[in-house]
Amino acid sequence: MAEKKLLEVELAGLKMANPLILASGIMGTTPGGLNRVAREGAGGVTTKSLGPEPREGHPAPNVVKVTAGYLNAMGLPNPGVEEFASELKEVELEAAVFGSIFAHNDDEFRRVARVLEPTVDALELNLSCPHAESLGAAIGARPPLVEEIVSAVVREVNIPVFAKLTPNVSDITEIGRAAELAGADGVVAINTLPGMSIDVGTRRPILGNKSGGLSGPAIHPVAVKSVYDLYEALSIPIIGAGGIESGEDLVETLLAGANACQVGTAIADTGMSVFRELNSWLADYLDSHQMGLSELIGAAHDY
Amino acid sequence: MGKDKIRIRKIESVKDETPTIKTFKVFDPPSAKSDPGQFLMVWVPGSGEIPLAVSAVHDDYIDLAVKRRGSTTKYFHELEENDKLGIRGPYGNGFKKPTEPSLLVGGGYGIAPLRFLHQKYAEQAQIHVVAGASTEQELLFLAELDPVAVSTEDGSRGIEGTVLAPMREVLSEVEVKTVYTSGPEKMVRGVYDICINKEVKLEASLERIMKCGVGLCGSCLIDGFRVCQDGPVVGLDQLKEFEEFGVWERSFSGRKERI
Ligand SMILES: Cc1cc2nc3c(=O)[nH]c(=O)nc-3n(C[C@H](O)[C@H](O)[C@H](O)COP(=O)(O)OP(=O)(O)OC[C@H]3O[C@@H](n4cnc5c(N)ncnc54)[C@H](O)[C@@H]3O)c2cc1C
Ligand SMILES: Cc1cc2nc3c(=O)[nH]c(=O)nc-3n(C[C@H](O)[C@H](O)[C@H](O)COP(=O)(O)O)c2cc1C
Ligand code: FES
Repeated sequence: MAEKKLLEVELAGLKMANPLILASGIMGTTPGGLNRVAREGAGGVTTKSLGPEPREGHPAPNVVKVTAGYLNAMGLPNPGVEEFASELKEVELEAAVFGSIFAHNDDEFRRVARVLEPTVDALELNLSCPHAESLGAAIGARPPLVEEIVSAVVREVNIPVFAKLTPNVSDITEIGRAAELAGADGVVAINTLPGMSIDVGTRRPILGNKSGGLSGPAIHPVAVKSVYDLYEALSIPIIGAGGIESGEDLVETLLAGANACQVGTAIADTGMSVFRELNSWLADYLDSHQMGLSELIGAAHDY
Repeated sequence: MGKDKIRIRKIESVKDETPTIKTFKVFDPPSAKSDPGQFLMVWVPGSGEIPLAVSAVHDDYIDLAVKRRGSTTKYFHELEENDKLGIRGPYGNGFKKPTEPSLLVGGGYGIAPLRFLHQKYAEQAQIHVVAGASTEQELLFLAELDPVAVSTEDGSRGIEGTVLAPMREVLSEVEVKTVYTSGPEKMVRGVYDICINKEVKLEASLERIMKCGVGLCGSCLIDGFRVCQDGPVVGLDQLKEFEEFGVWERSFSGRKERI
């Protein structure tokens, strides 16, 4: 029971039993999947990114194991926000629910946000989707677009809005600042890095989409650096993500400046027990160092 | 983990089993060591990647019995000896080893993992088989499995209809402690209802759309259960807890659809 109190966090007004959040796109395609992860001990759960229309996603193979991680090119499969929201409405979840959304422009983002708002506790904007009018460059790589979309959604809804940042930019703090300026309640860093895997036996790219996003331990140091830099640049909360598998990875990300952390790919290698294991590792760490969770956040910046 | 990396293998031989099902024999030691009921993710270079059961093992070689259905399996059926496949796995939990008198109930290509179970354990436990298919020509592996009863939907062989009627008959005639089943979910649901009614144990292999096989993507969820990692073989107690089993499945987009 002591562990419980020790790990409680408040994030942009959201109370969570612990700082672990299921990352978007993992298990979150159905309310049943989200509920399972909540019961496995996550303080928060994020839905699969939902868009205005149903999408089947990219052709398979959708996932390839690479050294120290996975490449995925799911292609944002989702049943459409209306369908998902109507299912989610029927389920009572034992964790804070983040509704992840993607769209091509501010109007679409607004529409999806409006449909999802009544069924979730906060929104996460997946800004890594290519912008329809800018020839494929991700929305999240362009500060003016980030500002436009974040402020449109913030004005539309009355729940906290988090902007999820792509690391595929020359300066992630510039994008983070644009989100903060536009009124985001927090940022999430990072999404996957672009990658590709070519099979030497057949000489073909393996993924059906040829290239995909890299996640897992391979990107963890990139996540730590991104969170560290964002902590220096911003005053809104940061949710860290990227290759968190062990207790050390988790504490490292908190020390860099994250208020909470998302876990995704670790579920493949560790299994669903990863949330319980990380929480108990964190509780032991706090206990043995005689520290509160809030003292840990950003502590590496003292040096 | 090692088993997740794709292994490129040459097809050793191809055999026509029925007008719509071919067996592909492939060298793959990790799969040859799998438990019956576990599955592989098989990449067909130039087409897609699909989950398949091992249908038999010969030393370091495995048989894959592939039913022609949609785009990937059509392409698969064009492949010949020496063409390449990419294999990862084995994934998931297989069937419990049969130690008591058992009955295998298979429908269509669903008989594939049961054939491997039979091959591996028929000498150690008493195993009876009931097999069903759409029509006589589609009945699989009859010579090896020597079923006590067969059914066909069109009545061209055995009992007309599903495997459920012959299954009930066998259960009332011979001693069976555990039923093992694999096939279309409506059939598996029917088998489940009979097992509850007759108070026999059940080991059922389930199917859902599988895009990753490693427990990440969520495409294979039944309620909060990942068929790829937590299944695909499930027991009676687990089945009782499902709300969606036999009623709902998910499309490629994740949309809930009636079975
Ligand atoms: C654990 C497991 C073991 C299986 N074992 C065998 C086997 O031994 N032999 C065999 O012939 N078939 C087996 N299947 C079914 C096989 O995976 C599908 O028939 C195949 O994926 C169809 O692909 P397609 O591109 O030809 O069809 P599509 O045109 O893409 O789809 C036709 C139908 O096949 C099913 N399907 C399609 N893609 C998938 C997918 N990625 N995962 C699961 N189902 C899918 C869906 O129900 C779909 O409606 C197994 C499935 C599972 C889940
Ligand atoms: C299979 C898979 C699907 C994903 N889908 C999404 C998605 O729909 N939206 C999103 O914002 N991020 C998505 N991501 C990225 C994760 O949310 C996370 O940012 C990233 O994987 C890094 O964390 P990890 O290393 O703990 O997985 C996906 C990742 C994976 C592995
Ligand atoms: S197939 Fe991806 S979670 Fe099961």
